[in-house]
Amino acid sequence: MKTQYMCVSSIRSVIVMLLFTTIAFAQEENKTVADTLVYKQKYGLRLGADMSKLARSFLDDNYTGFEIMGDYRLTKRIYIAGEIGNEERTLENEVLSNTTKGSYFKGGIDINLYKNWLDMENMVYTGFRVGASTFSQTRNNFTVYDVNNQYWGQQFNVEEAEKFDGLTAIWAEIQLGLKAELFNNFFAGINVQLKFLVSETEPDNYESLYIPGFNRTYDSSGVGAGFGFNLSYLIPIFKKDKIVIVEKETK
Amino acid sequence: MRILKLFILFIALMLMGCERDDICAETTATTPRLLIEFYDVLSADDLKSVLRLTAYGEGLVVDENGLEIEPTETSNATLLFNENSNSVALPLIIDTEEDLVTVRFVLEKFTNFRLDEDTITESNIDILEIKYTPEFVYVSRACGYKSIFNILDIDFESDANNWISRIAIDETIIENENTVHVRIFH
Repeated sequence: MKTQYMCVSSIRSVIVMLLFTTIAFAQEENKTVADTLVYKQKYGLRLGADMSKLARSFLDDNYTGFEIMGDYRLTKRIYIAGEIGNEERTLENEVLSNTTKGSYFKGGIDINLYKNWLDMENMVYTGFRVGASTFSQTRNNFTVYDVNNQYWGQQFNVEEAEKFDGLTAIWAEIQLGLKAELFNNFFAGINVQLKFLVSETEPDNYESLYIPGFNRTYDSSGVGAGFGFNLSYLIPIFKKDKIVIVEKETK
Repeated sequence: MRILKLFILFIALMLMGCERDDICAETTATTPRLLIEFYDVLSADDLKSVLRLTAYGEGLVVDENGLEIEPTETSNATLLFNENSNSVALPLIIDTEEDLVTVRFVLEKFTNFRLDEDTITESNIDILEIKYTPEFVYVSRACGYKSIFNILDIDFESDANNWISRIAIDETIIENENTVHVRIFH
């Protein structure tokens, strides 16, 4: 009987202890706690290619070209970015036909204007570039422009092609674009480009009608324009845990 | 909002960059014609009209069989037909660069005397011969190249009764139509 009593009392004391502990827990929940959330961030080199130039190479007989682009995150906002490409473009009108062939390089920075939520690496950005191109122009043929050519009943055509080698151009460029993650490290991006020609070597008794990377030139101004549509892959060189501290308060 | 503003600015700048330069404007100076003015041989500073002048490229006025004839009416081939004029603009033949080109124009004075019934009076034809080399100069993407002409010689064929007394070449390079290139005294 004595042992039986002992048992009962110990059970009672356990129940009492449990009761007290629950009270103690309840008391603690009324305070604020610091909760830490960890998001895995990955960033590094994003490499891609311009799809519009590839598509155009297939669709347009007068164009072949490709462009490889890349960016590298320096800080949350600033990325080093650049493009390298090669283009061949034939321009034709009533009076002349011209083929431009050459390569270009553009380098600069992208500034991300978009505040990413948690672990995302999306961008809405303005980009600044300096572009340089070396190219050659071939004047395939031309017709001498003469409003009075009907008088002697002939138009004079020069069918001999002439190649102008070693041409260069340098320009500054502003971009506006966005890059968004489609799925697992794959990004799609679009951008528009506005270019300002800084210097160029003019062919003798001719002009550069098209500059690889700069696109077609305009007679009276050094302004050019372009756009890009690219797909890229983010090589996650760095993986950093972004720790977000959330202050919680409960009653 | 900031992004939107930037975008609008961007598009505006882009549109500024675009312009129509794919059409060769009529105002653009392209291949020039040879401009001639007629002056009084007795008073070298004064313009003097040639009476009843007809001007055309030699061999251009033909009948329906393709035979060369003298013009009896104004046509595409006649630069001037039977009018009193103190100037004429001659289109030159464009040929291979640096090649010597000779072009001949018929300048017929008193055309009315040939056209009328009177057989006693007749017109006076002088033939102008121009020797030059063409040179092609780049204009723009829409106009392409124009030709300018380096004049080597301009002379008139002497016959028993020339109405032209002498020729003064003022411009040896025919680059544009802003100035008169040649003065003919008569």
